[in-house]
Amino acid sequence: MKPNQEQIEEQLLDALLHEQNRSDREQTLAEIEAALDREINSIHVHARPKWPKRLGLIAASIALGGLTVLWMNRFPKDKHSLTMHEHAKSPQPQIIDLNKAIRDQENKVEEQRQQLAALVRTKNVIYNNENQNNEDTIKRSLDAQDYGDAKKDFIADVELLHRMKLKLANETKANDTVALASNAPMPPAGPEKPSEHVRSENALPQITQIEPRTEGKLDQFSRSDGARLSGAAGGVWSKPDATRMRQLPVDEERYSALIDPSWQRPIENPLSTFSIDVDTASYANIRRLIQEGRTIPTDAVRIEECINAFNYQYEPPAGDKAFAVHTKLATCPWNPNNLLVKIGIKGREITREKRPASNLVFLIDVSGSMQSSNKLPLVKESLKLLLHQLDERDSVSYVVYAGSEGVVLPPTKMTESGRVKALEALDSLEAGGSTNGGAGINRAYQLALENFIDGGVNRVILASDGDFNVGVTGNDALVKLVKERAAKNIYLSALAFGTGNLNDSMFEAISNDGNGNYFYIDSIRESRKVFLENLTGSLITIAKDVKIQVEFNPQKVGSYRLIGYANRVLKDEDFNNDKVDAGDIGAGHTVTAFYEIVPAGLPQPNEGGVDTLKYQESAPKAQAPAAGPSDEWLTLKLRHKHPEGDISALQETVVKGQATPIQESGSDFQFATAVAMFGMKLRGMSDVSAISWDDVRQLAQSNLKDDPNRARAEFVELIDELEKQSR
Amino acid sequence: MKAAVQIPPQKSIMTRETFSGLVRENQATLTAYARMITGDGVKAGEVVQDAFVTAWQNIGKFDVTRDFSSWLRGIVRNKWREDCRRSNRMITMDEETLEATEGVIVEWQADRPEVFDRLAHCRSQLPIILAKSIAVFYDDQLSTEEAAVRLDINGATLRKRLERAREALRQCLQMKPTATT
Repeated sequence: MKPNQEQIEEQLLDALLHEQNRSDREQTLAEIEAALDREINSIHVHARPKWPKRLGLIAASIALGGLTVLWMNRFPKDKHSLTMHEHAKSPQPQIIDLNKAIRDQENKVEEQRQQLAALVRTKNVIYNNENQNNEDTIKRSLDAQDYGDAKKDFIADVELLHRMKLKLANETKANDTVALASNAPMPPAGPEKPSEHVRSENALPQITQIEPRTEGKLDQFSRSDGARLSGAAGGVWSKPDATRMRQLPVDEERYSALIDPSWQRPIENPLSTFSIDVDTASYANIRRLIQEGRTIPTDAVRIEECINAFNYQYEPPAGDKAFAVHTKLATCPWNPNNLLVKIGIKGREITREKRPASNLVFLIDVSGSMQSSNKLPLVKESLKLLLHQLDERDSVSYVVYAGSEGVVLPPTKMTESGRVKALEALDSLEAGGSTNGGAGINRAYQLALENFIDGGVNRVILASDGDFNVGVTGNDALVKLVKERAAKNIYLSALAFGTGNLNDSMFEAISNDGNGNYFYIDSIRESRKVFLENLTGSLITIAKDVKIQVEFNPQKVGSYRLIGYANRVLKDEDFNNDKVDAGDIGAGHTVTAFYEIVPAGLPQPNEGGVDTLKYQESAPKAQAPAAGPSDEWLTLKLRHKHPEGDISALQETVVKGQATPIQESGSDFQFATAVAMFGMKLRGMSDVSAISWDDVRQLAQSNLKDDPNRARAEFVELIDELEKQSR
Repeated sequence: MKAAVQIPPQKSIMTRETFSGLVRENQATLTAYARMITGDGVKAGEVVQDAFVTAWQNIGKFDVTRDFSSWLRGIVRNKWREDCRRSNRMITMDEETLEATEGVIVEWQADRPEVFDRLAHCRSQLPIILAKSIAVFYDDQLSTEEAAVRLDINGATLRKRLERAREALRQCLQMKPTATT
């Protein structure tokens, strides 16, 4: 029914009332200004002549360059013109620095925008939770310094960002002029003047428009337009101010706290139960942190993900079995009295030719925080790699999300024309706006469900820095959502990108418990590993809810502890409970876990650490039962479900016999042990405090065989870097 | 009264600063308009942001003899239609309604920032209980349930008070506004 005049007036009034006293007006304006500036920069990048024109320009430049050489050979070298020529050829460090400073500043602005949004949300929470009697208190808290300061800082930083972008535009313009001048024939004396023709070909109208904004005008801008803005960024922008252009510290990235499994005595706790973890994101993230020379937060180190980031030569399962389980016992390099048990699991392999058809929905974060070169541009390059691996059996669609979500590419078969369409759609993506990840995930799952392939791979592939700041933002809400969809056999792959605001905690939460897998992509090389070398493993789940339970024999084992898997430990009773979720495993995946064991009869960890009880007798220490096989160290049980099944199957393996000296334990055992030591040291575990980085390096370096991708060699280089940084 | 930012006659002298002035001048009223046609505050913000970017891209096409805010509203409408098409949503307002809306905007001068001053004046004329209802619901952005709890009244009472307040405000805004420069 069409509204009448009165209803239209009512609607307009309602909208005006909503807009009248909006507290986030300045923030909204700043976002619009930022969007306009992005547009200017984007025009600057794209406004160059189209390819055929550019070819003409290049040809003209070459010809002019040749003439220049001839011309210059006719005259003695002019110092000034030579400098100009060299300047035009060399990279422009000031522009590179400026670009980097702008990226950092954009991250900072985005981060402050989120803080401000969080404060606004807090305001609502306060209102909702408090009663009316506290109104004055509430008002005071709303006008509190923190909100005002955050808003002021945000506006100041947005203004600084504007100035930097303008500076970049002017610098680039100046460089273009220099470059053109250097290519033009130069007379031996007098000021160089670029050819009018060439200059007009390269003219960038948008830049020309802002060119008149000289530094003096910038100053004017800060006094007029920015009069009510904070004075913090006042004055003329000259170069990135080190105090303002701070690097985003790592502690602004979010990691969930990890508590390492403690020593246990089989006599009291004979069972150890955990969910497998095939993710490798932690290692890729640590590698990035080391390479950037950053401090590594303890909670960023998930030891098992470091160990599982490398290939080990485990025999695949025979016949139709989903898994092969391999175990080995050897001496412990950091405590010769102790032993290490390595548990290696190898999933069934599926060749690319035999892989089932895929229904892949890419959920791509295109919010403002994804602008950096190691975010959206790397997402595009990574997804292109994957697209080239797919064929006409497969269907691909894109959902993007920023402030809201939308379908950029409807389900498209990967025929040649479909692939071109998908690549073009990928190229068209640009970052900007807030991050309503929750809405995006809903949309992506809906699309995956609508195009569900029975017996195929149905997967949502999320590519983001994990910075969900609008909508379904809580980890718990997201986990619930993802779990519900996983129950419908639509799995999730989470691809994390970028630095500064990485939400590792969120990615880990949503990909745990059988909901999917998680990769941190720090480089195109890591993309290759995930999408080229391990495509079937990354996409095809061969088993879900994979749990391991180990029963230790107290006659042989005095104490034990699990190394890593800190956030994967399960209750013992969960092992047989098929309703409890656990990790998935992909085709051909390997999973490795270590237990450290103190043999029975030796001094045990934590002994004598507790005073005698004052009010009661200490409980008598349990005695190891005399019965039972004395040559068995432990029994390993593994449960898993078929990807579409609900009932788990059980596999059992017994570990017995003599421990092998670590030196004879084989290449894979030694290398995996070196990685475990690397993780334990980074986590600051006291047991390995006597082990030096050089010890770790030596153990790793002697096992660089079967390293076609140089992954192991790179690990050694990382240790070298750590050693250098620790000096 | 502050003079409106003058729209430059030619694109060549439309600087970024001038455009910033136009953004500041029009953002609130344009968002109100976008909210009205989209029915969604968040969507309105996005549409308005896109509209300003498009306006900047096409500033050379702007006919200076036309009203700038009217041109912006046209872009907002197009953005909204595009968005509806992309997400397969039905466009809720037909052309006739949009045209009638333009009439109300002109009558109320609701495309000028001064409309908020007049609205504030109208609000100041409201009885205290109605003014408080409006403040809690609109300024503090509470839902009717939350606002009712806050005012210690039941939801139906609050809705009635809001209805009465809006009616009074509507009549107040219908009065011929004083001329603006």
